[in-house]
Amino acid sequence: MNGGKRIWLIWAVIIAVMLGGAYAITSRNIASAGGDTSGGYVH
Amino acid sequence: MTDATQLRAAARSSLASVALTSAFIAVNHLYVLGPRALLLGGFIAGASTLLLLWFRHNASKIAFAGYLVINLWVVVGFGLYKGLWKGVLRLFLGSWLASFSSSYPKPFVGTFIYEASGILMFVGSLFVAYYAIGLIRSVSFGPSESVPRGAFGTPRWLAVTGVLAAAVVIAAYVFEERDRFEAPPSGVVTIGVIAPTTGPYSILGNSFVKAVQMAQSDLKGTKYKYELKIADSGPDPTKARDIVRNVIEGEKVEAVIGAVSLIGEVTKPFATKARIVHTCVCTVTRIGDGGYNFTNIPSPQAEAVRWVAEAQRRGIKRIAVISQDYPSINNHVKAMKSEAMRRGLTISYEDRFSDTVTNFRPALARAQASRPDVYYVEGLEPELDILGQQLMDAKIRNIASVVAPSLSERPELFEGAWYTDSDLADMEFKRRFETKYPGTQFATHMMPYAYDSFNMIVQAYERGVNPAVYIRSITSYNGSAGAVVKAPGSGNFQSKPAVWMIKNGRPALLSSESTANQIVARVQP
Repeated sequence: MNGGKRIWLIWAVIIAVMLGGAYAITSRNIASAGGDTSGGYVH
Repeated sequence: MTDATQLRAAARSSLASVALTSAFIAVNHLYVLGPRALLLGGFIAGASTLLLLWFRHNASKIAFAGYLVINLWVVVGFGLYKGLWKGVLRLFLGSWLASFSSSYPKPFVGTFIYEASGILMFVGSLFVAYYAIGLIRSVSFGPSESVPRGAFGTPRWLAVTGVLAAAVVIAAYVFEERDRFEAPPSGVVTIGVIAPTTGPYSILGNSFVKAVQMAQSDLKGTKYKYELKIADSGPDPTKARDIVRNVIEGEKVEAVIGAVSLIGEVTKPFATKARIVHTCVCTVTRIGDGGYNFTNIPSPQAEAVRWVAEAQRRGIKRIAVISQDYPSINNHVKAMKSEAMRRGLTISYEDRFSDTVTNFRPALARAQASRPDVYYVEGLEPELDILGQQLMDAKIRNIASVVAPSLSERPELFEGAWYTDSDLADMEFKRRFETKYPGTQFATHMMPYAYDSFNMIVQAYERGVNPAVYIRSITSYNGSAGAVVKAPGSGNFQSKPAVWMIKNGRPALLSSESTANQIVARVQP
């Protein structure tokens, strides 16, 4: 593997890890907000 | 490769990175700007293309400078500031910091598309910077062979610089995001009290404000002086926006206590931006993000559990529901029905009326025909008392509700009715209030929580702790509303409502879950 391809592969891994982490955090956030069925407006 | 070919290749790579990043910028900003975000992305890509074409046509230095300015805007504004600082660092480092220290707020987390586009905006901007440097090299030095060695640094130097820059940025974020205690100027803590004291929620709003005022006047021997900035938000959230902004950004209050979810939703982003604590006596739990915003009141689900338990204790099996079509009432009814059906009770009849209805007799006749054991009624004034009068005329006395009878202007119409409402561990609190404010209706549903919310903020200052950090760290609190608990990291205090009854024309507490009257707060070590 030449240097150029290796750099692109490293970037692909970095981006995949960050997107995977974002997916995990956003999924957990949606799950924890799932209990909010109140939606009331007055009190 | 000729100079011209190399320049064209560098320009193509640079423009491609700008175009791709502008697409990420557009997606990311859709959540804030709506369709106008497409104009933003289109402007960046379009202007960059036109400037490069202009530069290619007559080698205009102005065009090239303009192109680089747009690149700089993309890299610094969208990439480093929004993508890195407010995106990647907030999402990953902010979440991690908040998970182990209450000194850090739990960050806002958007949808996956929003967060992913923020990450890609940052990564894209790095490519924009990289290819822009390549383009400058080509324009400045011609073929790569003639570029002076070290003009843009060696790879090793770039790597070391990159690691150092990353360490500095991370350290800056860790320092900047930490909430610290700041002693109030001149020893005076100013607390904003935002509630609708006019309009349909005025009974709730006025009693809420007076509960906070009573908490303030109850303070004895405190280290700091506590002043209130009271603002009538009115019932309209659109108009409330300017009022909330004025209290938080104009008056620069140190904390906010708010009432009513409708207004709490408006206050939340202002409190977050100002990094001040906002305790909201409201049922919409999403307002309580656990960062700077916290809710403190029984949830509709908690009301439902208590209501159904009491109904079963009374041997009730069939329920007729007559309720007003209103968001918070609908949520009480929805939660009650769900819990009732889960526990094997039957809804024998259901009628949802609008605020234009004044004749409830046909609905009452249909409800009677369904042979219910209890009539669940809930509404707002003036419909509530009209319904109460017609229930009395029909000699229907087996009435139950959630909260509503305590808000009635003629509670005697609901004589004998039982209902769930906020607990009142300290009954002396109600007596003192009624003595102090004889003309003000005591709205049990909110007042003890308003009183306790004020005292939580006071406790924080008296202990020399940032109030947001203090409330984040609290997992339980025993106050005038009885025991409330909060899961670590949560923004919602959970409390158990109590069963009340209208007795001799006045609300009387039948059963309470409270075990303590003494106000103590337990703080995590």
